[in-house]
Amino acid sequence: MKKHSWVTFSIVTVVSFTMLLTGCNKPAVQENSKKEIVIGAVHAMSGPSATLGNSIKQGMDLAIKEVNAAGGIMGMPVRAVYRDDEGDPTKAKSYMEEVIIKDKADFIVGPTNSTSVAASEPFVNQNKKVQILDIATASDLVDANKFPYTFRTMIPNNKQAEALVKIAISKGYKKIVLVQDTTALGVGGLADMKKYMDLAGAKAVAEISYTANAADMTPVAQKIKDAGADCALFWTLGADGAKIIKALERVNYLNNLEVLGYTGLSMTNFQALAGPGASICSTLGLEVWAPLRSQPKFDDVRQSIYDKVLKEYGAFGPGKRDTSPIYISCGYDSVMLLKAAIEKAKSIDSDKVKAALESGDEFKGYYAKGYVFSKTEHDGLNVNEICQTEISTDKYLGEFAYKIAKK
Amino acid sequence: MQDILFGLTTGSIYALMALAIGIVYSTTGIINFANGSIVMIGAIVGFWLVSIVGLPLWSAILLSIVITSLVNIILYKTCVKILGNLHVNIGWITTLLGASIILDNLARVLFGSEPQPFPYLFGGTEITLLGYRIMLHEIAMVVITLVIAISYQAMIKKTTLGNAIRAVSTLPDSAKIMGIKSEVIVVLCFGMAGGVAAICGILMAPITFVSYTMTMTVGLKGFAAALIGGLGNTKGAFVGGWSLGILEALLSRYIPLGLKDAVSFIIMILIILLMPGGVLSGIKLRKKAAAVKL
Repeated sequence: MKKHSWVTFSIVTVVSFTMLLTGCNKPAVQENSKKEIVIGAVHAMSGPSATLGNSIKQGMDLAIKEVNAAGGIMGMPVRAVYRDDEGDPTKAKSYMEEVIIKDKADFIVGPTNSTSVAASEPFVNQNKKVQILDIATASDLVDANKFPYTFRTMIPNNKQAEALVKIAISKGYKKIVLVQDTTALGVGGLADMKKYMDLAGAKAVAEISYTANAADMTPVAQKIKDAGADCALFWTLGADGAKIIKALERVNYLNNLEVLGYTGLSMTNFQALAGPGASICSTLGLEVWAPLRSQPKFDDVRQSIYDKVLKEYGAFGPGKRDTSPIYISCGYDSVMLLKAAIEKAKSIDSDKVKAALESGDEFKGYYAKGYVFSKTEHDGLNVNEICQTEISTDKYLGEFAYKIAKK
Repeated sequence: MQDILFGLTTGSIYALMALAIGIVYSTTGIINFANGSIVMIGAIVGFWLVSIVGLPLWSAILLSIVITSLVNIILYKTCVKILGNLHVNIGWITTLLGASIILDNLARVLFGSEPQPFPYLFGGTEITLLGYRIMLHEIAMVVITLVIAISYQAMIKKTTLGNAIRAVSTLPDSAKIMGIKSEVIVVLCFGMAGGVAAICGILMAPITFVSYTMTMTVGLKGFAAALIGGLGNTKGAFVGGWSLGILEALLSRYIPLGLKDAVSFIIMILIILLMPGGVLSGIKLRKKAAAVKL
């Protein structure tokens, strides 16, 4: 009886030890035997941000189709698992947990909205998943120390603020007013704009905050007029911006003012909402996506992705495609950036892929010319690629914006 | 002076919202938390009738009033009436808040999330009044609100329907004994409130644009105006709306605009604390006190 117990004990111990060792080696075994690479994509594919989320999905689908047709990444096919968070941070967090735990995603793309990223980003980083942010713009979402696995390919708010201030100052404006709403987005935008005004040795003649979605914007327009502004930097969303422009028309102060807005000001029907005052407004875009109105032609790289979008998803317009080739290329870049980093790292291990991204080498892009990350800087887009563009155009409404030539 | 003119136009929006809230409150004792959504429905229906059906603006406004009135009656039948005695069952708070969310979501799905422009009355023509440029649309906002204020008060005081509404408002049980069909009066009041909400939505749409979020901020001001004027006091709704609008316009000159709403609500809280029945009841109390002293 005693001997039998010893035999049982020995077998249990050996089996347990073997299982423990197997468990310890699990990642290596998993990587070697991995049959596919799973990208978890949590995006707003319905709700107010649906156009953005669906653009990203289309771009990712396009890239994955091409990658798989060419044999996958290091022989492994790529599969995306999508979740629609509807722009809701609570849903974003639970879907992120689902794609990482249940679907065993190797990499993460998204979410779309900054608030959704803020809610889910800590979980992604705790699980050491390399995350690509290709739409969310809030400045503090990307911090190499706080969120070491999060990288961004989109223009962040702080770089937009820097670009707005640079453009205003380069145009010689002396009386600049800063206009923003009282939401976290507006407050963050104001802080960024003030920071770059200070760095440029300039001071705004007025800072005007208002309640988002307010019915009457006449007081905002009146304060711009009272300040005698020659330039207004708008950190406002499109509809509120259009209301302010209409109010500026009401207080008769359109002629001596130029309005430069961050990308949130841009919306497809801005001209219809703002009326004649839309002509004094412009926003920001990437130079490669903003040809001059006199030469409406992309470079070869942008033309190639634009042609792919037309072939795959058809023409833009009512009842047709409502997604933007610019944001489709963001989704496309997310997959291609991961592919390049995995191939550079020769591994799908998160730390190795992270190190490959942080190498300082330039990764070619379709949305931007290229992205360069380092150990301390996880925002890969170069501020010098940002230029001043028209808010929306007649012929290419929603497709891209024309660049405003420097005077 | 221009601030007062702009304040009157914004105040007209608040006043009409407060009136719609007041009409429902005066006969049922409930607050229609879906009022902001009904205003939005009025504007969206108006937009569809103008831009999709192609109706002339004035016909679209009239049809929108009818449709929005029906929507408000359906709201009553589905979210309020089924609850039975509203003084005992306060489930209407949940059903009306729920209805508001449903209407907002429905509008988002059917209308889309992009705001749309809506035409001004009289084509956006501007005139110079007392040396200031002002749109005929803005003058119309104030005039239409004034006409509604006078007509409603006249109807309440001088017609059989008005007597019936007052009877149901003050003594609902006695009104029943007197043969007044309370149910019909309540349905009529919901219909009227819907009509007023539609007018409000259409008048504000050229300024705020048409969207499913168009009343999210303004809707709260409507409640503030109703409370300042005295909840259920339909005369007070106009006093509350216009005074709030003018006050905001004047304050905007001197305080950061981000604090404007906070100041408006501080004033509302002070009025509720000092004059629970609204500013008009406060004025009445003072008059009574003065008479007693004499």
